[in-house]
Amino acid sequence: MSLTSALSAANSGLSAAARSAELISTNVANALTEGYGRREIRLAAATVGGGGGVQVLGVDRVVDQVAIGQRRFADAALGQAQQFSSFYQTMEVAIGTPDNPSSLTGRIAQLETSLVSAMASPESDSQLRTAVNSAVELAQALNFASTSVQNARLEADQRIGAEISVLNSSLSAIAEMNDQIGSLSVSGSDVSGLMDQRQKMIDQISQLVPIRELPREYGRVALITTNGTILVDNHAASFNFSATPTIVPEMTVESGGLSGLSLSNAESSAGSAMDAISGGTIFANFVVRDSLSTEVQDQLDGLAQELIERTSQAAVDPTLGGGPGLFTDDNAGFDLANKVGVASRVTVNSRLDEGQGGEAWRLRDGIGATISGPSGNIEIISSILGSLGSESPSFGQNFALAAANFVSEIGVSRNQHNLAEAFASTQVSTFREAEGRYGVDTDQEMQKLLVVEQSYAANAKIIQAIDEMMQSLLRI
Amino acid sequence: MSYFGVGDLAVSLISRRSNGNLKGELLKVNQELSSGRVADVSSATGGNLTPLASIERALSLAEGYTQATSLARTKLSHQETALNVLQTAIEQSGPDLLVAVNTGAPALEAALSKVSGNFETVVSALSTEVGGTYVFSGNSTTVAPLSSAADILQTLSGVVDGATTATDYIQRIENWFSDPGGFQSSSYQGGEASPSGVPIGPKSQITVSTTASDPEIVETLKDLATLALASRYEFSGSAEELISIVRITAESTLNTASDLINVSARVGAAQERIEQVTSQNSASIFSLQESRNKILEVDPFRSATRLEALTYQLESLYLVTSKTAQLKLTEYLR
Repeated sequence: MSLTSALSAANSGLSAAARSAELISTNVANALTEGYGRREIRLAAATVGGGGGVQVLGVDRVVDQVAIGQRRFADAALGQAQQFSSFYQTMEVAIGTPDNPSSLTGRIAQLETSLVSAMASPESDSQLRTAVNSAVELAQALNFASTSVQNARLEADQRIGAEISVLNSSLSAIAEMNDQIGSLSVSGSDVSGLMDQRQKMIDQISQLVPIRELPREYGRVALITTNGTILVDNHAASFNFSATPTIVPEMTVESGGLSGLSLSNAESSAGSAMDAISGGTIFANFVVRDSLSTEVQDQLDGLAQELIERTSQAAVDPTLGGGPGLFTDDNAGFDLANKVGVASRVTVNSRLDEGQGGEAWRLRDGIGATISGPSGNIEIISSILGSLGSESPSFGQNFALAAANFVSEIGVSRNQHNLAEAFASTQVSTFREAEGRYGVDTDQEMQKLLVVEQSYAANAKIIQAIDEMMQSLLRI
Repeated sequence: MSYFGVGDLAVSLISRRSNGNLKGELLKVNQELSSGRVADVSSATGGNLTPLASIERALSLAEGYTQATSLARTKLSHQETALNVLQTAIEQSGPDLLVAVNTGAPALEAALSKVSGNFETVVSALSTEVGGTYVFSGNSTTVAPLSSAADILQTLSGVVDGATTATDYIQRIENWFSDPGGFQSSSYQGGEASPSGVPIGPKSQITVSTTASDPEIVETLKDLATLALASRYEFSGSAEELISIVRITAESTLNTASDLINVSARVGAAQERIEQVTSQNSASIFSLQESRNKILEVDPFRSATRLEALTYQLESLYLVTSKTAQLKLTEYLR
């Protein structure tokens, strides 16, 4: 009796050693896999049947859950900072920095300079034409900036659409995996592989929405957002959003032109859907679409408005007759009710712009002039130049300074968000390294393997010895 | 079993991150060194681009001012030359005639014929143009300021027809020159002087206000036209009256000559202002460029030093990475 139990104990030792070797080889094979949880065997002395031996209680999946949680939050923060930073980067490129002559401030300086030159030779048609062209280029710079803002909005909107569908499909996949893991671990199978996969899926959505993972029984998890909304527990919640194909400045969520976000099927929610996703890239894209870009658009519109109003003052050109001056809102005067988007519509008065059938000599003789006047007349050109440079009570500083301050604001915002992005990026790296410390160290695995080898050899030797003992018994 | 290891992945992540950071900075320093300029203006200035914008604008305007000052300088120098011609002509026309008047008819005739051409000379000088613009035409720069000397003399000939006394003769001519319907409308073709000045500096303007209808110039034209008419000997009055005309006019030229100097003085003052403003502009262009360079340019010595430091750091990182890669138990278990 004791020999057979010795045999079975040795057998259990062999199988435990074999299982250990299996786990070690899995670990070594996955040494470079991201999101892999190191497998550890859990052994205990066998208690069943009154005999001895070892039993494999199960496989532990070792991860640093705290570091993972922190890293996920840092991922979300990084994603958000990246969206903001890249928005302001795009804006800075579209508007241009002052060292570039084709930037917004460069075009303004060019216009003022060409007006000075036109005053020096007002009889020169080519000089007048150059000045009108400079005005056209300035209007185009404003148009281009406005278009860039709306493009940024459109891209943000489309990104939201893509990310929401990734989020929804991931949430339902995670819920499915949850169920699988739960049922498998109840029956005692090794669910480590499925847990690896589930961790990967959750990592995928952690940049989109900051998420907290709470353990439930039988290896299942629940996903909760920062404000307590449960996204996955017994089943998955889903978000609703529809992308808009084209976006113009007047469209807002309030006006119904753009889609908002709603949450359905959540087991518990606090606040609105937007509160739930606050902090990740989806939220950041909403902020870009609905508030950052509308702010920039408003400032651009303000500049266009100022440009039109300054040059349309009655004192600038006596031939205006109440109509718009050098700059117009699509050839009409400025109307406060139409302020939104005026930066995309600002153009040079068609009576001056040869591209629209106008004549450049009207810059000198007045927009309403029907025939050209004295070729040395610099009065009107002088007042146009003065209207741009004046520090009048209604306009404050000169126009170039207003534009420069706007460009600076964009620059400062961009730098701030760049710093935030750099900080978040360092945080992510730090947490990722901390998380990685619990990963597979091939040296440790090799050492374990040496021990397992010995254990296997020892158990095999015992079986050999027992076999000899039995043989000698049988030879009696 | 307790685990004392550090995951392989973590180790490689650390060295990959350091490598990435160093290489990124290396690239940036390289670019700055080769171009001499800051790679990213916005981050170099912390986003505060307003000073740079002001400097660029001032530099651009300075270009415009330079062009404007050079054009104004040319115009004024042409005016100065023409006014010199007028001054010479008017000064010549007085003294000889006053002597010849007392000498006798043949001497008078000779003296008159010498000064008869002065009117045409003066009209032609006032019609100077530079680059298609007439400098004495006020703001109608593409139109010649005066009709031709011959036309004016023809008109005046009609005006004095029938005058028999010197006073009448001279009065008629004077009336024609001061009458808005006379000289101003039929002979002077130019416009008014511009009330606004052309900007030549950030806070400076210049007005080239002298035109051919300025009172001192009209006086000059009147005196010389009278003498030119007289030299035609079409006067229907007596010879004594003719001598009177010549004497009165010759005396008038003395006053006119001293009045004309005021015009030259005005032009001279404007020229001096232009020179002053030109040197101010050059100085400010220089200092603006200095300021711009301070913002945009990168000290090559600093960049080169940084490049050295980065290279050394990167090489050390490579060395450490390769050493730690060899320290694997697996190597020793082979």
